[in-house]
Amino acid sequence: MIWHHYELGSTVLKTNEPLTLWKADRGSVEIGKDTLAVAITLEGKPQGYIFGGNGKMVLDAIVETEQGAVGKPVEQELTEPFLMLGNPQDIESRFALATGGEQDFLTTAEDLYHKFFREGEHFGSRCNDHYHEGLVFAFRNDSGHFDLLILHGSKIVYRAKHMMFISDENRVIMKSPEHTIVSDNGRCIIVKRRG
Amino acid sequence: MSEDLREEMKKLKEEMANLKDQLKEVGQEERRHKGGLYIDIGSPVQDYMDDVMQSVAEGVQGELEKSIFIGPGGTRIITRGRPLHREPEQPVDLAQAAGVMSALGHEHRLRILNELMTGGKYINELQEKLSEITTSTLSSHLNVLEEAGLVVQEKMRGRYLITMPGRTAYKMATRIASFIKQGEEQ
Repeated sequence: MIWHHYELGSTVLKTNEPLTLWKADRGSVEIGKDTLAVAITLEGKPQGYIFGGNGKMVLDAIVETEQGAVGKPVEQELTEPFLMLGNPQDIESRFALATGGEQDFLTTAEDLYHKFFREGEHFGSRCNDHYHEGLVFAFRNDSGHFDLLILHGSKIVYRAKHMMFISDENRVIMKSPEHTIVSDNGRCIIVKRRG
Repeated sequence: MSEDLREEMKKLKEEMANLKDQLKEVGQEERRHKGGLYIDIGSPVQDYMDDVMQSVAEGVQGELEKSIFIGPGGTRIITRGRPLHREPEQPVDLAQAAGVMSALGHEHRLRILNELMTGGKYINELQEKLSEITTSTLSSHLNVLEEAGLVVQEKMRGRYLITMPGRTAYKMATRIASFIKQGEEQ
């Protein structure tokens, strides 16, 4: 197995139109026009980006049970820089070179890159040569850690400060301070926390 | 096995046989007096059994605290962190309770909840069922239900779903109404 190391690019780009980075039945991640971006490369090829600007993440972290729906939609305005690993199709053609505020954003992107990769909180800075699928989003939360949204086909894993949500078609696992719910094709176990 | 041990075992067997005979006599005596069986097996044994019963009861209670209720359709609601015997409830937020009751206090909103009891619905599906009100009025009712936590809307698909409290509230409201109706008829 060959291991490759991620590296942060040195060119600051900006989006020349609003972009949808991910969209599915359960959620979406979108960024607005003029969002700044720095590529994360692997062997010189872009394998992700650090974005800074305006965007929005939506995730319907809701489980339908026979006792009623549990959970709520997660909506997060993405005003702070965030990281994406993975390479949605045609994304490179949607960027232009940034023409202002590059150096400040590069410093911010480096800080985020080091926090995510180098400090080893979530991932090492390397991946094997089989990893080319799926998307990983990392959003800084108010405690300085990362909320992670990991997507692969129909599979969704969202791990945030106060909740965990895992979904794959008809199977859902959700853990919040109030409940832990496991739902599998209509069969459901709910663990309710009290007191 | 040593000779002494065999002798000891023999004595114990004889004592056990004597005890059984005595118990049988006591039992027959009790049956004669009370028409049932009562055996006084002595207070130390009784104390021991009481201790065992207490221990088993505590064990069972511990398990029950983890798994209290299996709902209809096989859905299990398991509560943790609270003993089986109910302790005084935390003070009820009466303002919130009033808000929930207020959200329930409209026939159209109850009808919306009734429609959602069978599964999530889009607004146009609800509009078909409540054709006598306008879409804006329907949206307004849905907002009230959502703010009260009785309904939740999926942001992506836009469907409205009834929540667990929503189902409970709807059942409560309809049951109270049927109790009152039954009382009036009697």
